[in-house]
Order: sequence, then structure tokens, then C-alpha cells
Amino acid sequence: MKTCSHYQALLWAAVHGELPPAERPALNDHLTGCSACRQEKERLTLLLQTAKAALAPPERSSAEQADLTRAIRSALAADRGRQNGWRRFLPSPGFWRLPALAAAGAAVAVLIWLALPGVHPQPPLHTTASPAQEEPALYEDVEILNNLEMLEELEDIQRLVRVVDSRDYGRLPKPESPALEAELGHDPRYA
Amino acid sequence: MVCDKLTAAQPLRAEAPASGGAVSSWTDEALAVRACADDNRATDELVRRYQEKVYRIAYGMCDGDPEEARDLSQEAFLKAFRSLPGFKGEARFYTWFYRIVVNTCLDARRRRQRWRRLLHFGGRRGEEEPTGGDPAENAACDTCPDPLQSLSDREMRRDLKAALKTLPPKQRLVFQLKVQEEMSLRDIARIMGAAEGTVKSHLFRATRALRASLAAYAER
Repeated sequence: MKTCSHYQALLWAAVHGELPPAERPALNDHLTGCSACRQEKERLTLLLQTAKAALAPPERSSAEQADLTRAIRSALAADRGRQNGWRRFLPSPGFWRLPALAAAGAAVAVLIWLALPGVHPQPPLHTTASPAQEEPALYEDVEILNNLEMLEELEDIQRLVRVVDSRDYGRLPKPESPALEAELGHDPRYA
Repeated sequence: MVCDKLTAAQPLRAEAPASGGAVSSWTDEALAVRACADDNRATDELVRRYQEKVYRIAYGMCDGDPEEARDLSQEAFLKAFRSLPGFKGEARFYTWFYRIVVNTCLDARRRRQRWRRLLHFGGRRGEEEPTGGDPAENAACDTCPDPLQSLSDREMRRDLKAALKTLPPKQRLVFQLKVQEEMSLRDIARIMGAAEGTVKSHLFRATRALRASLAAYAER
């Protein structure tokens, strides 16, 4: 035997007028023998009646109804006025459809062309030099450094010769190198 | 023009007399075609046919504020008339039109709640009972000879209104369309763009919530 809770959904559907005809006899049979469900049905019916009354707005006068009609008509007339005003000098929205599509197509074509490999040959990127190219340059640098050292040694030798000459001959010869001359220029022993 | 598509989909223009004749005898769809062609008689007739229904829905959805209900009704009608060129005639006019009304009401409710939240610093207060009372609520019950019974009915109606306000908007709308407009669940589902089962669920939840809030009266 089915319980009252089983019939509750049917009862609710019935009070809302949504119970399928096939299920009505079963519910009616149950209601005949169940006073609690009968009471529940009465309460729900009362609830819906009260709700309907509570939701009803106050009666509107015919003047209020006419006001609404007038307001709608004037708003629609204003719409039409706008459409017939300065907007009529503009081309219709459909007018721009074809040029807009053409422009969009052209933009897409340009983007695709730019993105194609081989259209713009890029120079190879060189992040590091190859050892074969780098080696001669390094040799040249080392040679220059050696020559510089040699020059410094030459100047030292020159200085030493002058000192020995001045001891032996009492007078210093004029230095050959301008740098050395600038360095020793203030010495009165030089000629 | 899309109105021409409408006539191609359904030969509605044939239903509407080219000129003259009583517009009150035209179908909604025929009136829609004529209103789309800026026929004021058709526009007026559609407003006349639907304004009370639209006003009732709007009134219920804006917590019984007559001014707001009027503004919402006007907004819904204007939206519908402006969207008429897009009406394809695939659905019945009233389904299409009610969908616009329902969406307008739900949008307005959302807007109002957003403002309320802003004004109440993010709180969910603002569901207060409007002051002043409602003439319909305060009206004496003509069918109740007993003053105590009348008072009880008025209290119950007031409490029911308060309970209706606490329902989520969609439950409330479904309940309203079912109980007040006496629409079928199938039509409500079409109007709301939802499954019939979803609408049924909304309706039963709303009924259960209202039943629970009025339990005290039920025990009397």
C-alpha cells in the first residue's frame, strides 16, 4: 500500500491543474479514504486562492490605461521621427556590410602573406663566432701585446744607455723618443 | 525587411484586412504584422489586449509598486514593438511577447537588487515591507460576513505577500504565471526558455515555501 508521501506530489500537481488524467483515479481513491490528505488538499487550495488574491494589483482606471497607450504611442512616434531625421542621410547598416567584409578579407590576406616562411629571407643569426674565424684574430692580439712589451723594454734600454753615457761622457744625449723627451725634458744635463 | 519574412513563414497578412474592419477580430500575429508596418490601430489593439496581463506580472515582480509596474509595462511593450521586425512567427505571438515581459521584469529586479545592495553597503537587507499598505490588501472581504474572519484573511494575505517576496525571482515568476495567469507548465517553460521539469521544480519549491510560511494559518 502506498503512503501519503507518495500521493503528495500528485496532490500538488492536482491543485495546480497539472495532474495527468491517467493518475486522477488513483489520487481520488486515496483522498476518499485519507482525511489528512483531504485536509492538505483544502489547505493548498486555500493557499493558492489567497495567493491569487494577494498578487492581484489594484484596479486601474480607464484613464490610466489610456495613459499607458498614449505613452507607448508617443515613444514609438519618437522612434520613427529619429529614423526619419538625420539618420536617413546615412546609408543603411547593410550598405557597409560588403566593404567591411572586403577590408577584413584583405587584412587576413596580408597577415597570412606576412606569416608565410620564405617571403622575407631572414639573415642567419650569429650568436657566437666559429673557432676557425676567431683564432687568427686572437693571434693578432697576442702579437700586438708582445710588440708593446718589446717597445717598453726598448725604452728601458734607451734610458739605461743614457745613464751610462752621462756617467762616461758627463752629458746626456737628447732622447729619441718624444715620450721620453717629455719625461726627461726638465733635466739640465740634456743638451 | 524581416516583417516580410514573417509573412513568408505564415500567411498572416491574409488574416488581416488590408484596411477597415474591426481590429479586435484580428489575430495577435496579424496585428503584429500591421504594427510592424507602423499601423497605429494594430499597436493600440495589442496594447489593449495585453496591458492588464503585463501590468499584473510587472506588479507582482516589483513588490507591488504601481508606478514601477507601469514603467515596467511600458518598457516591455516598447521593447516588444521595437523587436517586432525580429519576430519570425515561429512561435505564437503571446509566447514571444511574454518572454520579453518576463525578461524585462527579471532584468528590472536584478537592477533593483544591485542598487539595494549598493545602498545597503553590500548587505541583503532591503526586502522590507513597503509602508502605507496596499489598497487591495486593506480592502474589506466582501464574501466574509465575520469581521474576525476578514481580519484573519487580511493577515494571511499580508503574510503571503511577504513570503512571496522572499522567493527567488524565477520561482516567484513561475508561481505567478501559474497561479495568477493560469498558464500551463508547457507554456511557462516556452516563455522562460527552460525545460518543463525545471519549471515544475520551481513551482513545487515555491508552493512548498509558501505552504511552510503559512503553516500557522493551516493549523487553525
